[in-house]
Amino acid sequence: MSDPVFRLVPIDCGNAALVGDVFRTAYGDAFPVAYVYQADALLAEITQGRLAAALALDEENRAAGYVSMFKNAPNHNLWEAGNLVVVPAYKQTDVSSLLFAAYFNGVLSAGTTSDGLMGEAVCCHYFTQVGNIKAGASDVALELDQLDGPSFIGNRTGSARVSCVLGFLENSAPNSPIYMPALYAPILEKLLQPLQPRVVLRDAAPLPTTGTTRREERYYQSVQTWKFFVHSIGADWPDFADEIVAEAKRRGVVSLQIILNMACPQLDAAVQTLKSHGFFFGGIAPRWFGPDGLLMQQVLGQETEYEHIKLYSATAKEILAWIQAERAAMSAGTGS
Amino acid sequence: MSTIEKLREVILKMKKKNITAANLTPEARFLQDLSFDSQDQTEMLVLAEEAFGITVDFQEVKNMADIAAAVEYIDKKLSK
Repeated sequence: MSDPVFRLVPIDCGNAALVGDVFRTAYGDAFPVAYVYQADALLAEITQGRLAAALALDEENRAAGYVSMFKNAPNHNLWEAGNLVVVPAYKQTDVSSLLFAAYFNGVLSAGTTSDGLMGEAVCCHYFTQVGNIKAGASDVALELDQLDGPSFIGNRTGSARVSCVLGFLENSAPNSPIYMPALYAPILEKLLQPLQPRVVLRDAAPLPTTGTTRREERYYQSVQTWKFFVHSIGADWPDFADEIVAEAKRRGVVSLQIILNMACPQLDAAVQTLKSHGFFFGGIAPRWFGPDGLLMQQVLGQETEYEHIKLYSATAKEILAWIQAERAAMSAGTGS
Repeated sequence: MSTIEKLREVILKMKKKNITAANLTPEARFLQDLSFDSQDQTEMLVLAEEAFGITVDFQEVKNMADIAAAVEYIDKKLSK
């Protein structure tokens, strides 16, 4: 029997309804991105320039998988690669490689003229991580315990939560200077090394005495993950940290993440505040705001099962080692 | 330890259901006999990189069919 041959086709009004069918084969109706089940909403995302997507079809025009890039960051010139799904009946074919290649070979050409392409790879297997690295991306951050393990199809480790590693491929030169928090300078310098050169400032302004913190948030209730994107820091910063930690505990959030705009002169002081509230290092989210973002995070109500985290690159392993050392120091009361 | 013995250890480390050292003959086909999918194949190659100290070209091994082919590939890498 010969291997099936697949072709990738862009999503249009003639095939958009097939996308929901693809996701149902893998996730039932539980996939947390609602538009994948709604053809009209999916097409609207594409028309409005927030989504680029394709289906893999077999020789008989049956859908075998789906791949997409979407915009989630405050920087609307940054694409995120994600939501790649293979219909279970095609798991043993080469369709996953064909779908994955679409991120980098111009089939989803939206990504090629952007500031960069961010890819979130789950750490319960190596497939996506290897693909990112081999395509030239660099690992830049580790989102600890971000997804719910039992409900994540493809989690063969049996862990309660699944961590994700962020990979990044930069397409343009950054034009905003960033501030370097002294505490994380050793690891951040390494993470910045494979990216395009940046102007890095080492001044450290104190927390502001006026203004309010400007931020946006994404709450993923089904996976108990809550993310904040902080554009600028105000005098309310310590209160803001108090409030979100208390509210996260009330909601049963497991992964609480804050991405701080590294163009903020008060970055160093803001990091110290977060550390005093239990946050630890996550990595860098390049170009997240236009300027880069610094990921800080904490895991609530769960012990991280480090032994289940599968990491491919030496950089990702180094980020994890940093996180483990920082968390150990914080537990021992010696974290600075 | 021979390459095939070491590769067997690598595959057993993956703790995949229904795979024992006895299954891992040179003729065993990844897809049909061992029920490997692309995630399994990638995991085996990542673990092989660590175990053998080699760098795998994942494009080159895309169509690697069986254990014998994997052993041959690893031996070729080791001899370079």
